[in-house]
Amino acid sequence: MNPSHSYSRKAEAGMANDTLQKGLKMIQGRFGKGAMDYWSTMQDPERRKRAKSRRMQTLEHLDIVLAELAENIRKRGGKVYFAATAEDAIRYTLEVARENKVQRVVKGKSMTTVEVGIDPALEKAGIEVVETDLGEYIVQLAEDEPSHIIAPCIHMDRKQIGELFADKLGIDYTENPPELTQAARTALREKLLTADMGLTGCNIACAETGHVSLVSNEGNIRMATTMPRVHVAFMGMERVAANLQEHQDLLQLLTRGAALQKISTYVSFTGGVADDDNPDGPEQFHLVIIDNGRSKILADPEFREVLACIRCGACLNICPVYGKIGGHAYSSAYSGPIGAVVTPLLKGVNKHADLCKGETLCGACKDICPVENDLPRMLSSLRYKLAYGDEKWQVKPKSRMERLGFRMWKTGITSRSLYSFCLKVARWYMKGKTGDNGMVSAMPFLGGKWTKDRDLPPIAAQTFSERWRKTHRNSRNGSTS
Amino acid sequence: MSTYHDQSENEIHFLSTLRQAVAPGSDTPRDKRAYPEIFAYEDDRQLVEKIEQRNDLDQQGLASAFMDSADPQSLSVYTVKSLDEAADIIVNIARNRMPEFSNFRHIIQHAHDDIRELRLWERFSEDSITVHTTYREDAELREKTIASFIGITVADWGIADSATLVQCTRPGMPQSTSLVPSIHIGFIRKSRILANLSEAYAMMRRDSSLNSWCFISGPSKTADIEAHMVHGAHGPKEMHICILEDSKE
Amino acid sequence: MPGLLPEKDLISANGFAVYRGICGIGRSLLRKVQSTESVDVFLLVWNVRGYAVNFLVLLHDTTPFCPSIRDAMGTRVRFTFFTRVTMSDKPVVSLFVQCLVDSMYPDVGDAMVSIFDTLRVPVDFPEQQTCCGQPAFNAGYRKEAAAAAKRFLDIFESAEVIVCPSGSCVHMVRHHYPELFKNDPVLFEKAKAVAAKTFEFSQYLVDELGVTTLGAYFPHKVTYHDSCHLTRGLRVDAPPRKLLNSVVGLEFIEMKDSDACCGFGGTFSVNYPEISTAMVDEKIENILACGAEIVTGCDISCLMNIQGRLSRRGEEVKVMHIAEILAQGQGHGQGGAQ
Repeated sequence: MNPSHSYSRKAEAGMANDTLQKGLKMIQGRFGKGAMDYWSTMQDPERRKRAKSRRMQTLEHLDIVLAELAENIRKRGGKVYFAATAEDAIRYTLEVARENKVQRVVKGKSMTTVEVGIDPALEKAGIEVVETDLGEYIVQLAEDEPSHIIAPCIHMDRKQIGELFADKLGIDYTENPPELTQAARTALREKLLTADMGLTGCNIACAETGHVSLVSNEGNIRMATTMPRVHVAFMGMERVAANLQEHQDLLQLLTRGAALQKISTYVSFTGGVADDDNPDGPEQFHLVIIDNGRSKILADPEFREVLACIRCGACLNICPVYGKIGGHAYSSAYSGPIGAVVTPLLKGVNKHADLCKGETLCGACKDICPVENDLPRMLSSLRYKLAYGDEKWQVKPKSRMERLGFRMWKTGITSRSLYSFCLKVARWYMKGKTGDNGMVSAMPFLGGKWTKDRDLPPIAAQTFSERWRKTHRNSRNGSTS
Repeated sequence: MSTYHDQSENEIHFLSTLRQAVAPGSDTPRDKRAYPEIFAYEDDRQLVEKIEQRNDLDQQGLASAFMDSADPQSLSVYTVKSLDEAADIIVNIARNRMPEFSNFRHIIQHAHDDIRELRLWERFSEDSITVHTTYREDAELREKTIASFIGITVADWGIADSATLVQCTRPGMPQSTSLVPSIHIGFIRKSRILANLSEAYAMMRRDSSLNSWCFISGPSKTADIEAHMVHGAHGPKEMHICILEDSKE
Repeated sequence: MPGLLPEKDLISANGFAVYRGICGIGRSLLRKVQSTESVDVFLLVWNVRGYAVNFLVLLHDTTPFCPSIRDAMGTRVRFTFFTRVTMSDKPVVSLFVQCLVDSMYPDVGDAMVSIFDTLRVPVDFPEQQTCCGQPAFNAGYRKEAAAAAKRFLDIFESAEVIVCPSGSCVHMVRHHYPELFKNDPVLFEKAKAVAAKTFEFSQYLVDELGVTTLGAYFPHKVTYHDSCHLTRGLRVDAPPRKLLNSVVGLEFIEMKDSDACCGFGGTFSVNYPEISTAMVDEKIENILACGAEIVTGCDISCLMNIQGRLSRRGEEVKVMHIAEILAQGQGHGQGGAQ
């Protein structure tokens, strides 16, 4: 399905889904507001600004930082592969799996792996892929898609999950979350302990020390990176801190922004292989550093800052549009405000034009972002490209009708006499359509989209300009116009 | 001319793309030594001095703060004056909990000097509880860990303001001990408790022998189902911390 | 609650009404006087009025009248004396009323004029004005928006101060005009200069003129919608509240999520009408839940959106722009809820 047609349809489906609405309200009420309160009462109000500045410095020297990271990973026995495209990443991972006779892969939650599309490729190669994050596991069992970066199955309620588990896991029906969690724990333990390969993302790598660092609460990521023979970590190329100091700053912002936590239950620093010092690490560690369109974003000063994103999900938790439509409407691994910017940039601006235009630019995401990303500014830029086309980003103008409409609008507002005339015509037209309540409830064309659910006031019997001319102007001395 | 070894073709090409993106026109790989600010640290020597100058009373304060930070619903913290006292607690837990995934009770503990004198195997001579130690040479370490329902570890550092253990992987101290068994009991010396995350990072920074570590701040949990918090996801369901009384040398 | 008139105190309520009536008549007379006589006489007459008020206040102190009358009258007296003398040297305010106010909500413009008249701030209205260009800019059509912006700059470049009843238009001028012309040095300077002297109405009253009260009287339950561009773009959220809280009889109620977007977003409201409607419905639920009779704000686009949906839903809650509330009880025209 063409994503640009499906946005509105999926949005409507999301709005009609009571379970999703309830889940979103809860998450936004708790975490969105909570994060805003936290930033406003932070002892160090400049912290986010400093973090942003540090991130930009790292991004501006990303070639140096990544070279350092790769070197240090290799020093502790890991391998590093630089994947220019998603296909490269898939090819490499399949090779590693083949060489190691991998039959079962356990996954930690990773949006990058979804972006690349590694799961279907592994399954096609006859390898079993098991999501181990509880939310992702549920979504996988339900053959569905995640709807939130941090809380993937927020669109399902306990009843639905109870039925799912009764069906797929063969347990007695229960809708009690602790019991459901226990069932998943038991089912997944066996997978985690017998898997050949763990496949995870990377929250924030540390270049200076050569570590891949993963933030979690469930313990599945620790399991997936410790117990299997092989660990492959996918890392978006920008997800790296230069040194431990930058790492600490970002870690604290990440856990606060994601779930209001001072620190998550587990923060693991990994990247080595098993040896005397690391008794139960994997036998092999592969870091796959992924470009897949990011270098183009890096090269454009207008959009470079979006790479500072640490994927905390806070913007999802405050966005009024996301809060109504849910994550599925974005048709992308990345949803919410951040998804609305990176998805078009990574996958095609025209293809995802609805993501660029389908929000109000209210600015809440900018206020909540731990690294102060100006997402509204970037959305506005994307709209500009869609309006007239853009060669660098291969954007075609989206709508000739709309362009024509605004050309006509321009003609109207650059001539006061034409403008006044149009108002007079509109006034005449709307007078006939004004109801008893003084409002107009049916307008043609574009106006009809408004009046489908809303009334419109008619053009006033006397516009303010007319009143000024007739009344106000005369009652004052020496006024100019 | 690259300062790094073992760079593959694909790495060189990838990095060159990035270089062109941020510094168009630069033909050769950029040397990190020309950009010292990228990897520079703010001076934290004062912080380190502060940590080093703490006395026993200060550490007592930090231990109390550690206990206060622990969420009473999920994390139990005890201060123990001796390993005998600690052993009492462990014995109590072991006798009163059913193993989750097995009918047999196995315990696995780190091969670490701090807990060598626990002598749990003596305590359990009458019970059918087997005690294993994570000796480096043990080929069956993985099986023993999986079979155990209690894992006992020694942490390098503690962080008071979030009741966190800095669990470092070292010879004889695998990560899996604090991860796979259903119950995790972590030991930390009182003298090794730090105030906050910044201090922990300062210590990590100075330990070049470290390969991997994990900040552990409670038992595993999840809220993926209707944002309802459940303790016990894939890692340990239950966690206890014993703060060992000791003196700062 | 400060300034609240308890209904049961009929004597005080009537007394206050009489007082207002006298003020109203007096003001109309004085207008005539003002146009032909010098400022001094004007001041003299107002001083006399002030003494009369003081007498009433004295009466209150020695008789069991409601204390809030005194507060109400006290602020009016203070206001009257202070502002009458100082405001006449303020810069001329050039009104940019916004296309929606001009065409659909001219009462808002009237209210602004009446308020500035009360403050004796000279007011002007450049009649060539049309639109600031925001609808085109937000939809991505920057070339068309630039045409509107250039026109705006031409019309307003010689203004001393520009005041607009809409936060989003002011945000457009202040933040996006310089951006639109960043490649044209001449227009860029012009844009910066104009941006620096463009203000939203409540912001201008409180932050620039130092107004703390307008002596308005409006005994209703009112809630306030924080519009996005004013709150997050311009960081103006205190001035409207200060002004609303100074209105005698007004019971100000904060609604839940007052700064949540109402769902307008310019062309968003017609391109994604279902999402837009869902957002405004949530805003309306919050308005209804707080028990207000009136919802107000500083941005007509938002208010038009909220009003449109309230009307379609047949709800009782009325919508007024803040200027209309602040102009209440001044003795200028009838005003009142729509």
